[in-house]
Amino acid sequence: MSHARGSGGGTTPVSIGPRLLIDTEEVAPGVTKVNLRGRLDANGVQTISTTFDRVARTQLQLIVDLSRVSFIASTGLRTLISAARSVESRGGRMVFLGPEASVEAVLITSGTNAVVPIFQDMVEAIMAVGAGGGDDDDFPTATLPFSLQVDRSMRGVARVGAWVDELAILLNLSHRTEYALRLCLEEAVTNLVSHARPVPGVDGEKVDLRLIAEPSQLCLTLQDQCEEYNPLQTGILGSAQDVSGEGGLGIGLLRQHARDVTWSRVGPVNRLMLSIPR
Amino acid sequence: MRMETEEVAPGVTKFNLVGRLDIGGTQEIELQFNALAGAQRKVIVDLSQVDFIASLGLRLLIVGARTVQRKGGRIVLFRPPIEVEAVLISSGTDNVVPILRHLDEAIHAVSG
Repeated sequence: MSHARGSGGGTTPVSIGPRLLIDTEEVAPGVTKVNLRGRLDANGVQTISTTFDRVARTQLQLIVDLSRVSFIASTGLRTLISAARSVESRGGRMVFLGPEASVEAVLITSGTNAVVPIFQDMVEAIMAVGAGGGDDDDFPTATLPFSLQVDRSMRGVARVGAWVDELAILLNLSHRTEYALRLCLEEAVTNLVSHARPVPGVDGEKVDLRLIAEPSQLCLTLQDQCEEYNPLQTGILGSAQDVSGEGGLGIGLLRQHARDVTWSRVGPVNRLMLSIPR
Repeated sequence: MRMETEEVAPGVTKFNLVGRLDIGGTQEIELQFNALAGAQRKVIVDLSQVDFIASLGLRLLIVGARTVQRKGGRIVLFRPPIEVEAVLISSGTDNVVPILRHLDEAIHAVSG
C-alpha cells in the first residue's frame, strides 16, 4: 500500500516499513519471555503497546528479549521503563536479554540498565527474574553470593552439610528454608557422587556450588565437569516402594523442596539450577 | 547422630534417634540400626529428636522396616517433627512404616 501515514486522531496508523512484532513464550515455570522483533521507535511502540502493557500488568517474572530489535528510540525506552515499573510495583522483576551492541549502548548511556538489568545469557536472566520482588528495588546490593568447591565424594557431601550450617547462621534462615537447602544440596551432590562419570583427563572430581541469597529466595547453582549427565531425567517421582533401586527418590524429594529446577549442559559443564523460597 | 534403645513395654523396643539423619548421621548409626532391626520384632523408632532426613535416611528406615517385617515383626515410626514427617509422607515411606504420635498407640500397634 502506498498511502501516506495516517494522521493520528485515534485511527490505526498504517505502518511504514517492517512492523515491530511481539510474541510471548513461557521459558520456565512462571517466567514469561517477550520477544520483540523490529524497530522500537514511535511506530513500533504503537503496534505493540496493547500486548506489551497487558503482559507487564499481569506477569511477575518477565524477560524482554531484545536480540532482534535493531533500533531503539526514546519512546521505546519510555515504554520499556514504564513496563518494568509496572512489574516491580507488584513485586515482580523484569530484565533485558541479549540486546545487540548498538541497542545495548543506548540502554547503558540512558541509564536504563540501572532500572532493568541486562543479561546475555538466558539461564542467568531466568535466575534473575526468579528472584521475585521484595521491598528493596536496589537489586544488585540486595543479593549476597556464596560459593564453595567440594570433592565429588561422600566427604564432599559432608562438607556441604557443614556449609549449610554456616549459611543458616549467616543468613538467619528459617528452619523450613534450612531444611530444604540441606536436602536439595545433599540429594544433588550425592547424586553426582553416585552417578556422574568423569571425562578422562578432565577434573571431574570437584563440584562447584554457588548460592545467591536474595530477600525472597535462595538461588543455587551446582556445576561439575563430568560427562553429560542430566539428573532430572530420572524424572519420575521416586517413592519408598522402589527404595532398593536407584528410583529417583532423592531427586523426587529435591523437586518437592525446590522450585524452578533446571539442568543444562554448558560446554563441558553440567549445570543444575534451582531456587528455594525463603 | 546417636541411637539408644529402651524397653517401653514387655518385648517392645524403642530406638531413640538423636541428631540429623543426613549422610554423615546415617552412616554413623547404620550398622547399629540394622543389627538391632535384625534382632527385634516389636520396634518403635522414635524420631522426635531427629531434625533432618533425606533419601539416605529414608533408605535406612525402610530397609530396617523391611528387615523387621520379613521376620513377621512390626515396626512403627514415632513422633517425627513436622518437616521430617512431610518428607516421610511425600516419599511414601508412611505406606511402608506407619507413623504414630502417641506412645500407647505405638506400643499397641507393634504388639498387634
